[in-house]
Amino acid sequence: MKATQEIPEAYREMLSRSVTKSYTESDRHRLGMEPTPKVQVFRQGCWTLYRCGTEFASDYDPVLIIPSLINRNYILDLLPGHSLIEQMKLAGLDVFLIDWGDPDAGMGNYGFDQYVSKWVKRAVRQVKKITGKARVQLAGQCIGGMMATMYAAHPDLREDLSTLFLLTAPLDLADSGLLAQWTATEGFDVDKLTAAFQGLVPAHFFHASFPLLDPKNQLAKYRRLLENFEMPGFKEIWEALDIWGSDNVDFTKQAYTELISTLYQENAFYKGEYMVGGRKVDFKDIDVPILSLVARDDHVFTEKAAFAIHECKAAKKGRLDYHVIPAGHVSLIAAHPVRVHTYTLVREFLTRPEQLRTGAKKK
Amino acid sequence: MFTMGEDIMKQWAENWEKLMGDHLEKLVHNEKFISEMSKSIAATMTGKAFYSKALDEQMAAMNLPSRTEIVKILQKLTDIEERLIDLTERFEDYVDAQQAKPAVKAAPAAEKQEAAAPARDAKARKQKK
Repeated sequence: MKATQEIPEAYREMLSRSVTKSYTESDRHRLGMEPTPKVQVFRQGCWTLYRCGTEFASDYDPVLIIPSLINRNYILDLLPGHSLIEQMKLAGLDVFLIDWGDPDAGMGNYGFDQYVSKWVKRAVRQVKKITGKARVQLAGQCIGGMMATMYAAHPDLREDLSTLFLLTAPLDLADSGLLAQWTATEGFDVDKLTAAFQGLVPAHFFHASFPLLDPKNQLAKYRRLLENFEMPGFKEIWEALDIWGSDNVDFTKQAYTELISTLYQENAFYKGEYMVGGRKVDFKDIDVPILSLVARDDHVFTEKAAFAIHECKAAKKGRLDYHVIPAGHVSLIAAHPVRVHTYTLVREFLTRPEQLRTGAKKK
Repeated sequence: MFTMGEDIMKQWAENWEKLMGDHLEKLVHNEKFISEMSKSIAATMTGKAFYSKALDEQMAAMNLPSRTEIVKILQKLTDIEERLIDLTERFEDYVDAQQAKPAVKAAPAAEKQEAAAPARDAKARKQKK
């Protein structure tokens, strides 16, 4: 740790912005966040479908990315050189990205069923119409990965997909980490916890608990910044991640209740009891080639939650690429030097010729 | 390089971070603590819900729309938008299907015309004679 008089003024300013969460649009511009240009191609209510980049011609099936509901989607396009979308574009892919936006209270009755069977389906329809391709490569991050899995497991919807790419996506939520432990605790009653909210569960309500998922890391955060302050690029990525981490989104009340009670407490999706569009969905039926990337040091879900993908048909036929990456929940795509390895795996999978999609190796 | 005073400060800060980290780690894994926290938040939220309900009743007494009623209207508007987009998509699918149909229909009609052509020519030749 540096002596008090050695602490640079810039560090004090960063610390102040971080503690007070007083980030503005100019901070995002200064850092060059979200480097990939995006064109809006469809909008409904609060959610928007974007097409990424400026060149759209591609030899491959288009990629549609479903981000998490809990945070903003720009973690996938954080900074130049720290962007999964940038890498996909460099690989010659036509990339579409859903932005869930800020739900309003009028959407309070909409849960995961609506998100998957209506909105993701609509996004897929738009992608197919725009590109003229019959099938889409569906990608999902975190809870978005779970939604992508629901889509791929749905008997009527799965025909739309040529591949499935899951990024830190939980499937088996029983004993999947601290969040699972909290929700399983006696007295954790989601109906009582959300009784006072109309339509939306405010972001600050559930985000207050997020730092507690990894308290040691939270305490070390500012020390690490100071220690690495002079390291080229470190403070930029640190601040970009801090901006993203403090830019939170409200949850629709129905989605929040389902996440806690149906998906966590009952583990209904893993058991094949979850209903999407009036049909039960069982991820074990998924038969398209899958890439599943899991973070070894994930503080949100343990590896066990993602490992469940090995139980699906595709895995049994050797069509699953499964990799555990030595990084954290978001650092595997945005920060850690190991992200370069992540990018290579993603590019290789999404551009792999159809005939080579069988017999993929398991790691 | 650190002086002796700075070294002590550094050591103190490291110890504090480790102690706090270990303590918090134990706390967030403690079922009793989590259970009590959950119950306490649930009780606060139940109180807040009761207060909101009372406020709704006051608004109704003053003949003013409450937040609950506004949220209900918003939900209806959202449902209407959803239905409208559903119908638009169905209409687009119908139009696409209709546009594809004439091409399919035109093909047999053209074949029929072609098949009828030799008979027509023969009739014309007969009349000429």
